[in-house]
Amino acid sequence: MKSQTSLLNKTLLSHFTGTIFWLTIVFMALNIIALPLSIWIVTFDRDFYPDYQIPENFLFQIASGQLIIGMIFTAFLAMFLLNYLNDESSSDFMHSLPVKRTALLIHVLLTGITAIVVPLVISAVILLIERMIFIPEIAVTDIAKWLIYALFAHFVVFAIAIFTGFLVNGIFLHMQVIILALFLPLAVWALTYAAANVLYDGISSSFMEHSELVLNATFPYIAVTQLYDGINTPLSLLWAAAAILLIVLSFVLYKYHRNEKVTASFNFVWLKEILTAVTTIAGMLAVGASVSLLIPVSPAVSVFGFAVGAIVAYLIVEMFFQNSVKIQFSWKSIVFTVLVIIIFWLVFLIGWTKYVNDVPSEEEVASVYIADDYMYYTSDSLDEYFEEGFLFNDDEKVIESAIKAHETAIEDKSFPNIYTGDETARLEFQYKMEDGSVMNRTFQTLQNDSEAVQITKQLNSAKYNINADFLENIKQHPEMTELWLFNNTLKADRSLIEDYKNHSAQLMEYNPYITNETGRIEASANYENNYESGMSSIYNEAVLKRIAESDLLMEEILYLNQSSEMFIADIPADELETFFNDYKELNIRELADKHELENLSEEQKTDIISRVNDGELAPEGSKLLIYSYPDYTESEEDYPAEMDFSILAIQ
Amino acid sequence: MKLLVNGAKKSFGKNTAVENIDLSITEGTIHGLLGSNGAGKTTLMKVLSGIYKADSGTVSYDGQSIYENPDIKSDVIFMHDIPFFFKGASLKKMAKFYKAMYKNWSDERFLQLSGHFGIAPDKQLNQLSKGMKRQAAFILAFSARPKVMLLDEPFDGLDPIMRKQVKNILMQDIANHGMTVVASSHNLREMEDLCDSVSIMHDGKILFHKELTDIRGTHCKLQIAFKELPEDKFFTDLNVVHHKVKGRIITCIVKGDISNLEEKVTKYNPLMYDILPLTLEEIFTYEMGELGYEISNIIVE
Repeated sequence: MKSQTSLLNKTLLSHFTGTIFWLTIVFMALNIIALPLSIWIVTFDRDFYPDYQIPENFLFQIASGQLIIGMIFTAFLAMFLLNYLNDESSSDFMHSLPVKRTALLIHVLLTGITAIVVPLVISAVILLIERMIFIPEIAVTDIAKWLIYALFAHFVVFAIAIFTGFLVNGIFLHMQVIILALFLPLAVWALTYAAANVLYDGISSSFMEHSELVLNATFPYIAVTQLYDGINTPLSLLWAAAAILLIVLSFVLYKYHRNEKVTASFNFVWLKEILTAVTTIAGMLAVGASVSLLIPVSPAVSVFGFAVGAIVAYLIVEMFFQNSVKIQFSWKSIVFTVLVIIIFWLVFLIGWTKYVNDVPSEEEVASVYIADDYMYYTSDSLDEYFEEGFLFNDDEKVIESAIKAHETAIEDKSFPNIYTGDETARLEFQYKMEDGSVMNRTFQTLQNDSEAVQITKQLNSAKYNINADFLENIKQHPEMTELWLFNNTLKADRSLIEDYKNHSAQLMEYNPYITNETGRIEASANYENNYESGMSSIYNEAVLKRIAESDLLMEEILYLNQSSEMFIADIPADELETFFNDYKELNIRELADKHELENLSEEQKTDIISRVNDGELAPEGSKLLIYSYPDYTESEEDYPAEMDFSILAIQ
Repeated sequence: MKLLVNGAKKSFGKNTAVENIDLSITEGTIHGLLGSNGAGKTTLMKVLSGIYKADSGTVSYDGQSIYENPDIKSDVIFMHDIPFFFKGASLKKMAKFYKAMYKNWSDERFLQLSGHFGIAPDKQLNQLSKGMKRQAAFILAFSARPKVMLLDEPFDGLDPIMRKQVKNILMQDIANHGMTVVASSHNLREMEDLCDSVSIMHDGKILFHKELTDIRGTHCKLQIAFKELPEDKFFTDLNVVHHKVKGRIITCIVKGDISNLEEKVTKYNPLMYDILPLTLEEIFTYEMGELGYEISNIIVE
């Protein structure tokens, strides 16, 4: 006879295992498809892709699908294992058995952990077999690391899902609370940020800049990004500790709160009230921000959107939480939600107003970058692939002017963030602070003639913007595989980088309008797992040398042979600023009339192209070749000339 | 096992489901827990079975608390008013589960009872009718050979023949193994011939708790007809605690020493009389009336 008080009861384990058996089989099948099978497919025919190289962290990179499937599975696993708590008769039956509640939970956890571990270990064994047979690049240690990491990630989600099971009664409600526990902070913050972006001008365009805390609190995001970015050990340890704490709290709740009131949707009324209020805020922000974005006519419309959003969100949340469309209203809940919404708006308005009006002092700023276009680089790629100072200028005068422009932009911006159609300028201020932090602010409600824009233009035209030159600032990165010029037309060896840097001082001697506005070329670098590109200057000797050494003619590289219209202009140095401002605002006919551009005949074009092919560029001069892009046809639409034409300084 | 409840109270939030419950049930007896819907019977049964923990007070079997006590729980079976079986489980699978859970499980009895009730061991229980499910629940409960059976509305859904059979098996187990039974019901007549003692619950409280043998030894019903109705002295003389007059026929409940009642009655020269034992309803009509409750408000059926 077995002991009734023994820790493990095989029948109980068998019962719980039976509950989730087929779910586990599905998980195992999906696991095998998502990882070992996917790896086999990707590496199947190496002869077909002879250049294909398996990246160093290939297993981790390809494991994201498996991890997402696994996290969903573990949530369902917990839901079904604890489903006996959701129904009065099953709950009574299980609790009338001669088994303690803590022992029941131990059986649930053991069953769940086994259902997680076994499929993952089977996948790991298949990976080992694959490695032995046809993918030797995947190290055994990589498989072991993946297995440990996958177990950790699954366990954390399982712990969260188990804990939330003791907060509510009802499998659908359990699912909702798991989703809320995993994503509500991120959702509320993202929607708050979106609403702030809709209402305010002068907010950072980088969502990630202010989202580290909330992203770190969103485990599925952390779990997946760590596969690509490498494991953040302290953060992972923190999550592991949190998971253990949640399991301990589950035992505490089960033992002391006992899950007796099965008929109530939430075991803690205060939790329902808080979740209702916070979820209502999320819904309010989603609807309000959408309405404000789609109908940007007046603040009243925005207020109406947020109010309607709050009401609709509250009703939907109550329907979900009460598991019925015929909801019971509680004055207490309504008053609490309204109070929370009022407090939210107070904090929102005060906080974001202070945020958008915040300008750093000169002493705090180490370097600054003002972009009048969208920035394509992430802070990670800047750190990894570019020299310190790329894009950023640490000149005190530049910092001073940037701060002045920033202050002016704050005065010129409109609030609420409503476009009238006159706003044509976009300014993004990026500061690297002395304390190592960053501060970004983006303004989109400025007019082209606003003082902030003028200051920025003066800054950019003072000298060649060497800080933004791609080849001048790119690192000789060990993972760089290829370097290309002219939009992947001319392949260059890596020595170009050093060569370019050696000749870049010469660029500073030319008229900055010429170097900043003409002869811009796209350069790009391929890495084992990355790609970066940016703009450099054709006038650099290193570039001209690579063109001369290549089999390609300048006309092919610059598509001059496909240009249907060409103009020549001789602009005095003191008129260059006006000329380039007009180039960005007037159409080509207006520009030609105003600056007396000479429209070239076919014969003249042939001559010019021949000279350019011979390398007769002259950034030191004032003669400009304005040529249309391929396939250009004159349009009735009033486009600025810069949309269809490019400029080269020639002899 | 002797069941003792002292001052048990159970609340859910602000709602008190049961309070001030004092109960003592002797081993080898059947106790009926009567009360209307919402009286707190099921909550009390769940407290008695260790499903719920009493907020205050104690529930003990032979001096040991049942809550989170597997040793005691393995001797106590609670049968819910709606029998529970695992999804897709057959009687055989449930029997395997019960066998692993209850130390006194008897395979022999299981085979005997499942054969007797005629339930196919491999058929899914959730596909059975309400009555058949109830029978299956009884088969499992009896096969577990508990020392205490807590039955919530046990005969609901059973036909009269099956009720009788189940009652017989209950009686056998009580007689042969000293099993203690607590059965809740809202039906007085259902428990009439079954209980050794009864309690009536109302609004979460036990209003009344009596041994039926005590009541039947000290109370009886007297139906008597007179040519002319007697004076009040008749009622005090016979120690009548409750009476109804219809024409010249008086129906009364007499309390006290009823051994010489016939002798007392004949002194008043009745046209005819009959001395009858009290039904449960009549006992409660009298007792509850004394407590100020109308029985019709408490017992529905």
